[in-house]
Amino acid sequence: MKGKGIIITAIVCALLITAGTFGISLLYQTIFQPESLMEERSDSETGWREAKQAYGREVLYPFSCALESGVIAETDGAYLLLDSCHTRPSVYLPLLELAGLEFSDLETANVATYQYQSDTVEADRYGMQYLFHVRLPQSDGERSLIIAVDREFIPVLTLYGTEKVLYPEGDSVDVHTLEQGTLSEALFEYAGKIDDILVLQAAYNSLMIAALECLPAEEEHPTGSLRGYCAHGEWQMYSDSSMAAYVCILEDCNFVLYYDVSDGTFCGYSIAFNDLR
Amino acid sequence: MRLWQKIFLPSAALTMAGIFVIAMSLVVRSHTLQLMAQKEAVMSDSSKIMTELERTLEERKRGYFLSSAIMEELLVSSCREMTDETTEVSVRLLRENPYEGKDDNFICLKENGIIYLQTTAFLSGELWQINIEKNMQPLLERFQEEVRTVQAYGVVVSMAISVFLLILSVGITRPVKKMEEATKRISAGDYSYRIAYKGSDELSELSQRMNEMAAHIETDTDYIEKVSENRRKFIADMTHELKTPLTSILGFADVLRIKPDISDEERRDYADIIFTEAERLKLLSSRLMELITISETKLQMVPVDIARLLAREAEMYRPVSGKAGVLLTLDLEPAVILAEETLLATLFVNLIDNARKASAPGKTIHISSRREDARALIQVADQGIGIPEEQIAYVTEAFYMVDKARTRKAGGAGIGLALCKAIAAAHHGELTIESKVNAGTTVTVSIPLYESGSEDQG
Repeated sequence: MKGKGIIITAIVCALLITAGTFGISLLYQTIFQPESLMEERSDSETGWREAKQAYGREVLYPFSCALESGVIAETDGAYLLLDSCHTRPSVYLPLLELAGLEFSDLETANVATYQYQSDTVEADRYGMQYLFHVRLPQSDGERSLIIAVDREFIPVLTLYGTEKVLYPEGDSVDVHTLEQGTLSEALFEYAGKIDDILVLQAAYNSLMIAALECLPAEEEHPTGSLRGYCAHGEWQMYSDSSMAAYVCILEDCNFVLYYDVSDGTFCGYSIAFNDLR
Repeated sequence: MRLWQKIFLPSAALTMAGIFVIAMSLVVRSHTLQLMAQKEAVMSDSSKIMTELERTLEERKRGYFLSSAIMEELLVSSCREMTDETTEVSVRLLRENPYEGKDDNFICLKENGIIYLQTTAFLSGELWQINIEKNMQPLLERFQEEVRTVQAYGVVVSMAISVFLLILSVGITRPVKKMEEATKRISAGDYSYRIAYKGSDELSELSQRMNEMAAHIETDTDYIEKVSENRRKFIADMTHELKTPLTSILGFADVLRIKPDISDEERRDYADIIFTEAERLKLLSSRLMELITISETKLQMVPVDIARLLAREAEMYRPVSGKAGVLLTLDLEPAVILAEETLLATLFVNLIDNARKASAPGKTIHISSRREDARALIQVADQGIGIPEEQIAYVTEAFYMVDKARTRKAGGAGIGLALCKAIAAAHHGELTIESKVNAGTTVTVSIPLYESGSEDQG
């Protein structure tokens, strides 16, 4: 009887140990769920959508964005634009003509001068120094011209037409990638006009040289021109209801052609380029 | 189920459960921390990659934009620089929004043991998805290995603890087993059996109490057996003593009834015998009645001067003793006790009568009383045949006779001294006998003296 009790007890004890041993695995699998421990989800769509909108607005409305963000601050220096026109008539007079203005218009126009602030990317890396905002009242409404110049007073950003100053509140910016085949001839022609205006300027030539480096090495390329590069770059289009910006990207170089949706014409360019060159 | 099993099995079960749960908790906690550390590392890698990317982009781009090819190259190279060889990185340019309400950033562990982290970022004008994959399979395999190790250690430790608990539970219940054996033997009648115990714990105290209980039972049982034996002997003796005179009475009555020619002298002799035996029966029955009822009757105690009582009883007995040729001498000191006078007189007369029966003519019976240590001592000393020393202890038992023939011849039945002892006991006294064969016997009765204000002691 006693021996039977010991045997039963030993069996029960062995069962307990076995249950405990296998229970470890069961318990481990029950408690330890690495998949659920690791999983973590979040939604940043709102964040990057806003970033995208802000970026688009920055591309479409560089003047108002620079003004809002404090990159530029108004300063005295309306004469600087006139001086530049006198100093570089081969650049500024065709540019005014492209914008539908004459030199005499500047004498009667309301010109505001802004200076790019130091410790900003635009000033330190892209060498931008002044921005002139010319407003000329006309019978069909106010006509404006925005010219941003670098340290050599070369106009690296030009934007003209009507209502190009402030971006419309509540309007959203769309971003599209464009295929080469979809680009209009007008774009190429407009790029050619800019080539003609800037062809003798150092900044322009630097851009052309840098862009040339970005082209495929196995191909023969003529001397660089914006018109020529338009056929090689990747294209993005930022647009809202009134403005569009065609961005041509050649590796780490780019230039922008602005398009007035209401007029159906190109209305400016940006060849701001940093000192890496 | 035995007691040791009841102690051992739950203890073992609880201990093992405790061991396994604690071990498992530690393992799970350790693994969780390691996994979380890996997760944090991957997320930190991702965060560092994004920071480094933004910095690189700022340095690298010459315009506001970078081409998608350059961006991809930059993203991949930055990711590679920021991660180790166990981490795979891929990037994807998102031309269209692929999420449509789904979470765009997440980290998870795939079934193949790979941590997958997806981050979406808007960089240089375009939306990019960066995917980081880190192989966790070796870590997960190590976890399984650790579980197996814990299992192995758990078995060994559990077995060791089981053996320890087994020894402990058997040790704890051993005294209980002894007690069980003891109760078995005691219930079988072995009241002298005692449990051996050591220490001062509860079980030892219980063993001690059981031994005390057994001792009480043994004592009480002995007493009951003795009382039973005495009663049986008393009844046998009483029956015998009643039967002896009845036999004589019946025999001589039958002779008178059936013998036709019987002389007047014979008839008178037979009638005398019948009368004497009947008287003896009457005396015997009255003494038995006194002996039986004395312990059950409420005595009417009054202060009695024993010197006066002894003197009176001796004077009343003097004709009997004189007829027997025995001289009575008195040496009486007054001493007052609480007593029922009639019973006390019976006690004295019995003692004097016994002394007279034991004394040959010419001998003296000395009666004395004195006070000693708050007690009254009454002594009746004779110069008679005496009592053998080995029989002195029995002479106060009812129906015990040293010399039966002589006692019966003297009209006794062996009840006198038993009655005297009972009367003395009823008065909180003692009766002691000193005797020497052929030299005489001295019977001493010691009774507490009466003190004023102590009437209620009886």
